[in-house]
Amino acid sequence: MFKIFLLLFFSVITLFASEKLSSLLTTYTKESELSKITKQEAAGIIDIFTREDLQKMQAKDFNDVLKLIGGLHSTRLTNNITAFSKPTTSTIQLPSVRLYVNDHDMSSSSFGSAFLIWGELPLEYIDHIEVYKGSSSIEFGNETASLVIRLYTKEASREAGNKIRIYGDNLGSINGDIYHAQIFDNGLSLFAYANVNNIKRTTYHNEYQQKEYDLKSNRKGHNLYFNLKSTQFSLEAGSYVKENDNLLGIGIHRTPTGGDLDSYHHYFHFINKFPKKFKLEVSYDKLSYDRTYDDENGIKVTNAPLLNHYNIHFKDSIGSIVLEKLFHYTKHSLLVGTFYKHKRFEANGNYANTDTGYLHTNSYKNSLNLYSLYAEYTYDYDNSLRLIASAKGDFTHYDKSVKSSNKAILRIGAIKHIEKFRLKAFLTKSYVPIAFYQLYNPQNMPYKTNPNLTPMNLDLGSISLKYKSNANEWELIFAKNKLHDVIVYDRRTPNGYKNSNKTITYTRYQFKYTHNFNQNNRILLDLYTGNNSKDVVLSPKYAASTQLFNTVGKFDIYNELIYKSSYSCYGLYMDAAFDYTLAVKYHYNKDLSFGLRGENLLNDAFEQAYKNYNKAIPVQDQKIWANMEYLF
Amino acid sequence: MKKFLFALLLITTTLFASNLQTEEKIYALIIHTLLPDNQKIKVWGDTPHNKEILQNITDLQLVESPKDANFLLLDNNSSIETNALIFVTNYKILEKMQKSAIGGFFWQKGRPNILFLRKNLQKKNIQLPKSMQDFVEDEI
Repeated sequence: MFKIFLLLFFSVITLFASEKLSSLLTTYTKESELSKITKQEAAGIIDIFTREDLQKMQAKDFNDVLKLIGGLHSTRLTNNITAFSKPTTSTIQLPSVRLYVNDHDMSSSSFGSAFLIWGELPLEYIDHIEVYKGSSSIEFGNETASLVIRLYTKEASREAGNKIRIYGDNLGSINGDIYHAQIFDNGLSLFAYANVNNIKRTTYHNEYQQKEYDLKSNRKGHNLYFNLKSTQFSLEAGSYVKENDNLLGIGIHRTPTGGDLDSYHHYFHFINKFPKKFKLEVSYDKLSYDRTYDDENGIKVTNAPLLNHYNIHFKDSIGSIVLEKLFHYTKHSLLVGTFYKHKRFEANGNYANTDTGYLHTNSYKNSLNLYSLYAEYTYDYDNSLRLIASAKGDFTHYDKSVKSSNKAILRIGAIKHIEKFRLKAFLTKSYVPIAFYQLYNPQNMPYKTNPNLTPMNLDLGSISLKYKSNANEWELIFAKNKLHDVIVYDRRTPNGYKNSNKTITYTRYQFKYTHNFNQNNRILLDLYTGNNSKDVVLSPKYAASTQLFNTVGKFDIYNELIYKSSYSCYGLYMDAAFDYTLAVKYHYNKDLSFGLRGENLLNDAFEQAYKNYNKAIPVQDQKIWANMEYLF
Repeated sequence: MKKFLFALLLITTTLFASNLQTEEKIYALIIHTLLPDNQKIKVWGDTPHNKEILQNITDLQLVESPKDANFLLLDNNSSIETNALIFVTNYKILEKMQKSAIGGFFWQKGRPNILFLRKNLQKKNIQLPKSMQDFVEDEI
C-alpha cells in the first residue's frame, strides 16, 4: 500500500511538474529581473521599467521611457535638448535631475546635466531603468539631485551570445545595434556594444517676412559601450558621439539658417570591491559640446550687437574617486563614504555678424574641486519597519573667482509594511547644485553669469502608500518641495542671475495602479497633478498614462496612451493631448522577432509652446517603426 | 481510503508548491520527472548554491560524495566520472559535457533556458512527458 501511495504521489508530482514547467520558467524570468536586485527602496519613491517592459514596448531610445515617468512632463527646449517640467511649472533646473549608467554619473560639469547629450540615448544595451523621486543621491555616493534616473546595462553573465537589432521608420530613420557577451573560463565576463543611428524627425516651419525657414531636429551618431567584470572588479568604458539639429535655435525671430550641436562624451569607470565591504571607484570623463546657431534675422546676446552666427564650444573633463565602506551588524547598517571630484571647464566662443563684419572671440576656463563626506544609517526595527537617516557634506572650491560653498544634506525616512500595505516617507534638506555656465564667464559674453551665486536650498517631503495583492497593486503618492533662495534671471543687472529671497513651493499628487490579469497580461495606470505657490500654469496641470501589456501566442502587443490637459503659455492655447502608441512584436522563434511600433498615432501628442514662436510643436513625432531583433 | 489519499496528496502537493522558491520548484519538477520511480533520490551539487537548492527540495537526500548520488547538479565541475544523471547550471559546462549531461538550466541570450539533450535522454532510456518535449533539443 505504501509503495502504491509513493508511486501515486510522484506520478501526481510529475504530472503537475510537466504542466507547470513553462509557467514556472516564466515566473522565474520575472522573479529574476535585475531590477529586483538593484533597486534601492530606501533611496526614494521608485518607478521601474523592467527589461520585459522595455522589450514589449519596443523602446528604442531614452525618450520612449522619459515620457512615461509619472509626475513629470518630458519636453524639449528651443534648441532641441530634452528637459522636464512638473505639472503647472516651466522646465525645471537641469542639475535637479541626474542620470547614471550603472554607477557612473553622466552629468557634464558645464551644465550639471546629462540630458544635453544623453537625452535620446539608444537603449538596446540597457537592461532596466529605475527612477527615484524625492531622492538625495547619498545612497548612490555622488552629487545631489532630487530626481535620479539610473540605467543598468545588460549583464554579460545572463547574455552569453550576440544580438543584432535593426529598426527604421517611415521618415527614413535607421538605427543598428549589436552586442556581444561572453563569460571566460576564469570567471571574467565581457559585454561589448555598438550602435549607429541616423534619426529623422518631422520638420516644422516658420515664416518671417514671406520667407520660410525649416525647424529641424534630426540627429545622428554612434554609441559604444564595453565592460569587463569579475566578482571583485568591473571596468566600464563608454562613448557617445552625437550631431543634433537646433529646432528653433535662439534667434529673435526663430528663423534658423543653419547650425547644429556636435557633441561627445567618453568615459571610463573602474570599481574594485575589497574584502569587508570596502569599495573603491575611479572614473574619468571627457566631454565636448560644440553648439553653432546661424540665424539671418538676428541672434541677441549679452554685451554684443545683433549676431547672425554664434558658436560656443564647451570642453569638460571630470576625474572622480569614491571610497565607501558598509558596516553591517544584525539590525544595523552603516554606509560611510567620501568622494573627490576634479572638474575642468573650458569654453571657446566665436560670435559674428557677417553682414556688419562684427566678430568677437573669447576663451575662458575654470576648475572645481568637490569634496564630499557622507553616511547613511539604516535600522531594521523588526521585519516590518526600516528607519533611515543620512547626512552628507559637500565642499566646493573653484580655481578662479567663483565663491566656494559648503553645503549639507540631511535626510530621514521610514519604510513600514503592514500586511499588504507599505508606507514610505522621506524628509530631505538638500540643495540644487549650480552649473558652471551660470557661474563663470568673465566677459559676460554671450550670456551673463554671477560668480557669487549660492545654491538654492531645497526641502523635500514625500510619502507613499502602496497596497499589493496577487493581482492588484496601487500606490498613492504625495510630495511637497520647497525651493529657497530661488535663482532668478534679471536682465537689468550686470550679472543676470541672482539669488532672490523668494521661496517656491511645489506639490505633487499621484496615483498608480497595476492589475496583472495573469503572467503575460498587465495594465498600468498613472494619474498625476500638481500645483505651485506662484499659482501660474506653464505646463499641463493634469496628466495620465496607461500601458497595456499583452501576450497572445507568439505576439506581444503593447498599447500606451498618454493624456495631458490643456494649458496656455506664451499667448498660445494648447488643447488636451492624447499620445497613443501601439507596438506589436511577432516572435518567429526564440531568437528572431519582428515588430512594428506606431507612435503618436492620433497625431495629438503633447505640444510645447516656445517664446517668440507662434505655434506649439509636438514633442513626439507621428511615426511607424519597423524592428527586427536576432539573437545568435 | 481513496478520499484520504487524495486529500493527503492535495495537501502535500500544495505544501510542496508553496514552500519552495521558484528555482527550487523547477529543479524539483525536473528531478522528479527524470527519476520518477526513485523513492529517495540521492543528490549532490558542486557549489554551495547548488547544494542549498538541493537541500531545500523535499524528498531528496543530499549526499557528501558524488559517487553516492544518482543525480548531480553541476556548475563548474566537468571532470566527474559518474553513472548518475547530470544536470548543469552553466552553459559553458553544458558545452563541455554535452555527451554526458541530460540537460541544463542556465542563462543565455538574456533569458533563462531549460534544455534536455535528446541523445542523452535516449541513452538513459528516459521518456519525458509530452508537455516537456518543447525543452528537448538535438544539440546545444
